[in-house]
Amino acid sequence: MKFSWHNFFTWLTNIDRRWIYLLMAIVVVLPLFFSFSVKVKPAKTVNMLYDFMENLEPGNTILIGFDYSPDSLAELNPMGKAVVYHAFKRGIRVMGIALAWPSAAGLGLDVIQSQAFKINLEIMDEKLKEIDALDEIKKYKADKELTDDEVHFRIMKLAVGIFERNQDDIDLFSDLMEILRATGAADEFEPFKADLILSGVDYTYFGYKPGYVSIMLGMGKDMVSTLNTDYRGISLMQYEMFNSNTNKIKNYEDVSLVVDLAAGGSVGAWVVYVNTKFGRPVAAGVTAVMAADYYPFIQSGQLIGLLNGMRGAADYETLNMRHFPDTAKPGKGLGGMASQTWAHIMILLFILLGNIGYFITKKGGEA
Amino acid sequence: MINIIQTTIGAILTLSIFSFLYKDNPLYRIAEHLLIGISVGYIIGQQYHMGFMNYVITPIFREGQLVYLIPSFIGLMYLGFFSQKTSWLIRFPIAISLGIGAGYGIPYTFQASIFIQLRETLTVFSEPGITGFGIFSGVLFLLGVFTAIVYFFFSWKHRGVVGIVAKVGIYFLMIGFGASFGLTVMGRISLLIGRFLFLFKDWLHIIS
Amino acid sequence: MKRQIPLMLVLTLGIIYFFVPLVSTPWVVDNLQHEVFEKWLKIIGVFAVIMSVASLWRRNAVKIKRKSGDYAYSYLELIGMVLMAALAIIAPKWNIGNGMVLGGIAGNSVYNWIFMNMQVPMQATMFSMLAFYIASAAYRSFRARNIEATLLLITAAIVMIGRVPLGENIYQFMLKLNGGEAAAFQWSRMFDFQGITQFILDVPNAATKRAIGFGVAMGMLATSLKIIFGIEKSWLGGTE
Repeated sequence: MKFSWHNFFTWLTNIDRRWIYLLMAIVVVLPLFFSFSVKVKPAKTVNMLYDFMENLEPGNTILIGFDYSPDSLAELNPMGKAVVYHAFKRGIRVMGIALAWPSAAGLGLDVIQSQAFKINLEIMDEKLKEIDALDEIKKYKADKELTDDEVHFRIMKLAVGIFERNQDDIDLFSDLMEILRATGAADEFEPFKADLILSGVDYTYFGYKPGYVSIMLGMGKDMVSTLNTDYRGISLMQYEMFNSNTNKIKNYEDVSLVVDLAAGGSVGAWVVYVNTKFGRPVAAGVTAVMAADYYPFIQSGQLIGLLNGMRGAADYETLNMRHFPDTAKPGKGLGGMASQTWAHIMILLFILLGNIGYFITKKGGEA
Repeated sequence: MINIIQTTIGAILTLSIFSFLYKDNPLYRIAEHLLIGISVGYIIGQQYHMGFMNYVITPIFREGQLVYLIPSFIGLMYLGFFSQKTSWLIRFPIAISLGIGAGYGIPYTFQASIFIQLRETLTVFSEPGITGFGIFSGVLFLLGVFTAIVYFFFSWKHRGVVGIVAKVGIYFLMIGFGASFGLTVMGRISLLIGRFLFLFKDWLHIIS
Repeated sequence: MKRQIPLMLVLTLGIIYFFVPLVSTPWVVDNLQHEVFEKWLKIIGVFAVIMSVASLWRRNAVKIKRKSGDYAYSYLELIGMVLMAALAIIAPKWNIGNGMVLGGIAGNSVYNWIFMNMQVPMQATMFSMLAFYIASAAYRSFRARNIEATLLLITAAIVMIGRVPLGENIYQFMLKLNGGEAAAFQWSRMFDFQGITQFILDVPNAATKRAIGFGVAMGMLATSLKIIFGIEKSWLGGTE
C-alpha cells in the first residue's frame, strides 16, 4: 500500500491502546530512576498556609481532617506529612480526625505517627547510636536478625511508651525493655521527655468518628464529650491535651486552624459549619481533580490556604526544606515531580498528535 | 524481614490490579473481590469500635444514660434492610437524619455559599492598596462571574445582547473547564506516580 | 402509613431544624442541637453500616446459592469481610511478635496491617489506572473541533505546563534571553507559565467556579426544600 499521511494517521488513530499504556508507564517510571534535582517555586496559596502556620505560637493547636480514602493517597498523604512535620517542628500541637471516610482512619494514623516517629528519631539520634553500641543490644539485634534502623525504632518506641505510660507498647518489646533497664540505658531517657513528640501531649489522633456534621458541630461545644476516645479507644480525659490546667483543649476556640485534606465534598462542610458558624480559619489540601473548584473560597477568604494536588505537597515540602535545611528531606511530593513533568509532556504530545491526525484524516475523508 | 513481606504482598496485589490493563484475568478478579470484602470488613471494624462501642455501649450500659436507647432503637430499624418485606423500616432513620440535616443546613449553606460569596464578588475592588493589575483582574473577575451567570439563565433566550454576553460566558467557562481538565490530568498521573514510587522505592528499593 | 409517616417526619423535623440556628435560646440549642442533632443523630448513623453489610451479604449469597457465573469470587468477598470484622471485634489482643497484636483496630493490629498492606495498595492501584485511560483519551478524544474546545485545550495545556517545574524552567530560560529582570521590555513574561497558571486559576477559573457555585448552592437549597416538603421522594425507595 502506498504511503500517505492519511493512511498513516488512520493507522495511528487505531493503534492498540495497550501501546499507549506502555508508553505512559515508561514515561512515568524512567524519570524516577534518574535523580533529577527538581526544584519548585511554591505557589501563592501554599505560601499563604505556610505563613499562617509560621505565625502560630508554639503550644497552639491545629486540627487536621483526614477526609480521603486510599484512592487519593498519593496526593494527600505527602501533603499531610509535610503539614504535620512543620507543625511538630514548630511545637504546634496536632489533632487528627477522619469524618468522611472510615478508610481514612488508618491513613491519618500513618501520617501523624510517621512524622512523630521521624522527629523522635531525629531527637534521639545520638543517644540511640550510643545504646546501639552496647554488647547486649548487639546480641539482641543478632538474635532477632534486626537492622540498625529497626532496633533504633524499637528503642525510640519504648522511650515514647514510657513517657506516654503506654504499657501495651512496652509489653510488645518487653525483652528489649529488660535489656534497657538492666544496662541502665532506660534511665537516660528522661532528658528527652520534654522534646519528644508524645501522643496525648503533642498530638491526639481521634481516628474515624462516625457522624460527620453531628461531630463537626459537637466539637464546637465540647470535644471530649463529643468524641470520648482517641483511635485506640482510650478516654480523652486521660490525656494532658484535654485535662491539664493550662492550655487544655475544650472546643474550636482552642483550635487555631483547621486543615482539611479532602478527596470529596468535605471542605464545603468544614467551611459551612466550622468557618461560617464558629469563625475558625480553615485551609484545605485537595486532589488536583477538584482543586480548581476551591479558588473562589481563597478569593473570599473562607479558605486561608490551599494545597493543590501532588504539586501542593511538593511546594510544602520545599518550604519545609527552606525552613529546616538540616532535617527536612524531599518527600513523595517532590519525588514525583520529574515524572509528572514528563508525563505532562507526553499527554500534550498525544493531544497534538491526535489533533493533527484528526485534521488530516478529516481532510482526507472530505477529499 | 516483616517489612519485605508486607511490601511484597502489597506489590503482588498492585501488579495483579495492573494486569487488567493488558486484559481481564482471574488474578485481577481475585484482587478486585478481595478488595471489596476487606474494605467492607474494615468499615465494620471502625463502626463497631468507634461508633457502636463508643457512642452506644459505653454511654448506655457503662454510664447508664438510658435516653440513648431511643436513637439506638431508631438506628436498629436499618436491620429491616436484610429482608425485602421489612425494608420499609429503614425509611424512619433516613427520614430523621435527612429532615434534621436538610433543615439545619439551609441557613448556613445560604450564608457560606451564597451570601459571603456574593459579598466578596461585589467587594472585589475594596482591597487596600489595589494596583492597576489588581483592578484589571477585578474587572475580569466580575465579567467572568456575570457572563457565566447569564449563560446559565435559560429563562432568557440567548439572542441579541444576551446572546453576546452568554457567548462571552461560554468562553470564560471553557477557560475554567480547561483549568479543571489540566489539573485532572495532573491528579490522575500523580496517583500512578504514587504506585510506581511504591513499587520501585518502598518495595524494590532501586530508587533513592 | 409506610410512606406517610416518614414523609411527615421529614417535613416536621425539616421545618423545626430550619429555625434552630435562627432561634438560639438555651433550651433549643441544648436540646435540639447539642442533644438530638449532635448525639442522637450520630448514634442513628452508626447503624447505617448494616446496609452495606446487608447488601454485600445479599448479593453474594444469591450468587453462591444459584452458583451463577463466577460465584467462587463471592466467597472471597465474604471471607475478606468476615475475616476483617472478626479480627477487629472478636480476636483477642495477643502479642504475636514483631510488635504486633492479633485483635483490635490499633495501629499495630493485624486488622490495620491488612488495611495498610492489602487494601491500600489495591485501592490506590485501582484508581491509578485512570492515568492510563486519560492518556488514551488524550490521544483519541480531545479534539479542537471549535473555538470553545480550542480554548479549553489551550488553557489545559498552559495549566499542565505551569503546574510542573518545566513551566518555571522555560520562564527562567526565556528570562535569561530577555536579559534578566533588569531588561526594559519583559517579553519573557509571556512564558511565565507558572504565573499565568496562577492567574488563570485565580481569576477566570475562580470567576466561573463562583458562578457555578451559586448554581450548585441554589440547587442544594432547592433540593433540601423539595425533600422537606415531600416533592423529592426518591430517598423512600420502592413503591410501597
